[in-house]
Amino acid sequence: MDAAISGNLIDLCVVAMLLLSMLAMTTTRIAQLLNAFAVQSLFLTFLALVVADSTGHTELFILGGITFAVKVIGIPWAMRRISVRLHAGREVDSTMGIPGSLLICTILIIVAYLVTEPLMATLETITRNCLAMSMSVILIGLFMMVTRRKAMAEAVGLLMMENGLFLGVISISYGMPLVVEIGIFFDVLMVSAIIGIFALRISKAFDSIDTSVLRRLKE
Amino acid sequence: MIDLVLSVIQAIMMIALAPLFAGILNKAKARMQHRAGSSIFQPYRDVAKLMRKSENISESSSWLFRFIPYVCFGSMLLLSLMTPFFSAYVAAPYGDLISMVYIFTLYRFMMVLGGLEGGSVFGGMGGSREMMMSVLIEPSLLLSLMALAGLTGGSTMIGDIPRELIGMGAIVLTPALVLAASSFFITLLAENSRVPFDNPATHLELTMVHEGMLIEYSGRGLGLMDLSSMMRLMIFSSMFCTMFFPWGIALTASPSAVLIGLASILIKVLLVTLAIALIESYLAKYRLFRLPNLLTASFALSLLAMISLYIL
Amino acid sequence: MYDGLYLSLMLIPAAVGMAVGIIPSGYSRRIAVFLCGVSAFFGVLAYPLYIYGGEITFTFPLFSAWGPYSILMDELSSMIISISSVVFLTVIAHMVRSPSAPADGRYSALVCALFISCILTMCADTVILLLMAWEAVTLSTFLMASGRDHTAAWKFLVIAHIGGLMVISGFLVMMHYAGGHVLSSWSDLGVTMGPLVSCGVVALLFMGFGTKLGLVPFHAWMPDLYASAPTHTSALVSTVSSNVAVLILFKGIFGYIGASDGMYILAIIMMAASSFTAVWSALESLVQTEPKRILAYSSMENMALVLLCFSLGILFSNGGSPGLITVVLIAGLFHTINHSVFKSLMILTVGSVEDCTGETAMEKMGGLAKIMPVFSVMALVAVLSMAAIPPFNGFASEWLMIQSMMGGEGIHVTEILLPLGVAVLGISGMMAAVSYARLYGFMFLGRPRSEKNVSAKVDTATFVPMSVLAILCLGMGIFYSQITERLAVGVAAATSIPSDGPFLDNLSGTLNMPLLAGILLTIVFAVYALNRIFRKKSARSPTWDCGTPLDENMQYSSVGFSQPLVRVFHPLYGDVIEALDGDSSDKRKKYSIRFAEPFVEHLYVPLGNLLMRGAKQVGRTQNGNIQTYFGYILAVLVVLLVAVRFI
Repeated sequence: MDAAISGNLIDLCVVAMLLLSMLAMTTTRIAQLLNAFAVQSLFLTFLALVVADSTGHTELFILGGITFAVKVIGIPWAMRRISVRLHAGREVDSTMGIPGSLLICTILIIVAYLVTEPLMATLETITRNCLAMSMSVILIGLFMMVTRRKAMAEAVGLLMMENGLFLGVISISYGMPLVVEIGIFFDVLMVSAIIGIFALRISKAFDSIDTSVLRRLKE
Repeated sequence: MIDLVLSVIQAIMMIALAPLFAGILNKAKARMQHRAGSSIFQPYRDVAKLMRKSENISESSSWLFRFIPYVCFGSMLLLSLMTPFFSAYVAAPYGDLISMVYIFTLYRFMMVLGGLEGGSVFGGMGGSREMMMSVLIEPSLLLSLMALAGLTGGSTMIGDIPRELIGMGAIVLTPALVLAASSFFITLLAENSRVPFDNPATHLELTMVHEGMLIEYSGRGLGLMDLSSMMRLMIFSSMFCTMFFPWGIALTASPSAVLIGLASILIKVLLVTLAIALIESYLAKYRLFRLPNLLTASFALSLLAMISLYIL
Repeated sequence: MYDGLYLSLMLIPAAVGMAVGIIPSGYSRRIAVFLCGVSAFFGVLAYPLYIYGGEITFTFPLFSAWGPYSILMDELSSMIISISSVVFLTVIAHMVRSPSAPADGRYSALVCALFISCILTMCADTVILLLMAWEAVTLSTFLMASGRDHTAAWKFLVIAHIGGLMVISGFLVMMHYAGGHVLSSWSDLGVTMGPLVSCGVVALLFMGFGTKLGLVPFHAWMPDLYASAPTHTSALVSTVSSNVAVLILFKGIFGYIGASDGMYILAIIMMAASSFTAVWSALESLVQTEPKRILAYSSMENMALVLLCFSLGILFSNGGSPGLITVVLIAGLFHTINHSVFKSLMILTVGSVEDCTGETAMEKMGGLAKIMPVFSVMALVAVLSMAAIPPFNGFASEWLMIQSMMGGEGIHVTEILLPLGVAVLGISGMMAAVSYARLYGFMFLGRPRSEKNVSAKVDTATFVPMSVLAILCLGMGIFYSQITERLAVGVAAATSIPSDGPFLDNLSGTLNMPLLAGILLTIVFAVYALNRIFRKKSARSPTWDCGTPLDENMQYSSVGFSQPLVRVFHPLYGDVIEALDGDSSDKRKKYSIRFAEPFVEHLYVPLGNLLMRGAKQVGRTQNGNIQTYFGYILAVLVVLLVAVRFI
């Protein structure tokens, strides 16, 4: 592929991932949240494939395939099932309004750029520019976990952070060794399973998966 | 010399075609809602009829009220001279994108003052809502144009931008362009009082924004105001088409280039019009205090366009 | 030789006027005002004389322990002196015919004093003269402001003195490093001072002059002073003394110290402070109900944009092109002089309207355009300039600002902040425009909101100074490129920024304002003429009222007009106080909304309480018992001795 065009494709994928993170910040429905996550993972898959194709790192093909299977299809499907079983309602409420959280997201992006800028200058990968974006995706994922009340949404925030991490690894060194990556995937699967189970237990105990009621445990 | 002639011709074409595209928009909307709809030439008939009517002016309005339609219409005429349509030549390089944004502000400012003229509640309410939206529109409009200027190497001259973009080839399809274009499209809907920001079909309801400000106009004044709002939509769509997706525009004055440019711009504007019609049939008007969400999203998009320009 | 003659022509009449004004006599006021006008007339000539004869230098035959008092008028100061004198002249001319201007001679004497001190500050060449004149500006403003409400003037005095203290300390530090007190010999002090000290001095100057320009949180005096002081005081404070403050701040940062790339963190902080001031004052101006308070916040907003330009000027020295620094500084200076023109026009108009109607609240005005059509034209020109509408002068300077920010690519790392600057400019500019549309619309348009203002008597002689200002608003906008070229020469002379050819070449766009304005006006008048030729008859009828006759309260109120924006930005506003006015048993209940200034509520009041408590604690030590005082002396002595022994 032409280097300029693959560079453009990488840029588009990475910006789409960032946009989907921001979309996830603004959405109020659990289904939309899961869709956003799935599409974000799809772009991640695509990005891995483009990088693999243009740099010749063939193990990225495998990673892309696993990402597709696990994050685009597996986890969203499982979480959708869980949310149906929970009868938790379709709404995910946030402690902050949409305009405010969008503005904070943009500030986080600027911070991420200012922080990663010296590192990016030293990298030599074709994906080095993605580092700032991956940092932003991580920060926004964390911010989502801060503002969202429902356990489900917090899980999605965590998963998005993991996407950002994967992106960062790709941008620094075209991915970690295959074994480590697969290990991380299992971790993610475990985490989502655990969160799912937790959410079920919480909803049984409190009739709600609103994590702010966990505060009552203190007493 | 040929440049000047071309640019004057394209300004005249934009004025002449503005009601046609407004008619197409209404017709497409009607079709999507399974109505027959009025003819696509109806806006011409409306404006012509209004021009022949005598005016009826509120007793409480002052000298300014009569001037507002002229100023609004004049500013839109000026903008149509400044916007590229089928050719990248514009009448004279006497202004850039920033001054175009501020001429739009002139239009809006005058329209709001006109709304306050009659002393009716509708005018004040429309003006107040319009001003709320315009505060949130302005930064995203400026930023999306800034992203565009940054993409093309820092020129804010509207005539240079299509040239630069085409010259850059496929590399130009960067996130910055896509993000800035999507932000600009949202501002296009907001600036032109389309759904979901305002319902252009509403009359005499508490929901109206744009129509509320026009409530005291009649006859020729109303005709001029209607015509200028159609022209505003036309100018915005052709700005959108020529600046963000300039492929096909005539860069030289040769007849073949001009013909290709004309065909491509008509198709592009038609597509934008159909997209607006689709959005208007698909979405309902938003509640007033949900609009900031959408406008902040547009702001975030344009800011992201700028940031991605620097980062990537 | 001629320099001395010119300066005496400019300064002596005002000085005599100051002396005459104090004499309690029926004629003293007129004579003092006339003499001040003569001085201001010669002040207008400063720039033409500079062009004709070069720099004007003069040393007063006075000597002090601090060295001589000398004067130097360079390009930039003579230009700003000319503009300020024009404003002065028009304000004085308006004052002569204004019924609300204080009738005693003292006020005129103070106007003379303000004129002299402003001129001396702008052209002072030694530190001592500069600082003394600057303090004199503060003092004479304070005395001129003591109108209806003394608390506002005192608030001003306290805050301005805190600022004055910062300015003085900044200049003393600079003098220490420069090793001399002649200002024109100071240049690039930043090199000798080192980055840390120069950052400190720049911060001191920024805050010190910021108190006069309404930098948050030093702005609390501004709305109160504008609302309570006589119209002409506010007109002069917001225009001429802002010009002075901006000029000295500019010379201090860019002329004497010189921006260097070590200062970019300070520049970011300054940028944040001025952006916040701009947005916040624009927001606050939306909820004011008195025209003069709106104008106070609008002055803050404009000056915050100027400060934003200066902080960007420092930021751009961090790797940007030198041409761009010049552009952004010119944008700031040009906006300052533009502001002085359109703001004085607007304040004079508002003052005249208040004189004629006797109302200060916007809720009682309305429909004045029919009673005072000429005033409404003047106010429209001022409002359009303030809202940065082409082709007026406010637009020209805002255009330059946006251009400089858009061209700022290539600055190391911090370029990512530039879009935020543009966003601030867009949002605060548009909010200010909303606020001016509201100001104009609710004063001049619509139906009258009270019966009282139907009988308005207008003094036609005041139209002359106002129309001069209105023509300047248009002229400075149309011929912006000539003016900014001259400013560029001045900036190049006053600073050590290398000039990069004609500065307009550094911009990424061009603006041919005469052509733009010409086409716009031609089109508008052509449409108008066509409409007149093929005219249709028009009828007058009442406003459409849905079948219910409208009374004067049944129209949109100015508070309601800005309510959507208030709802959107509500976290930024302070506490909303809803009050029931009048007797609650009355059948017609009136509710009013008031917004508490959060900075006053949460910063000034606690600070004041803290000070009072501290003072009480200190007071407890002063019990009047002589033995206690001896005890204090003993304690101090012991502490000092121990300190001397061990340090």
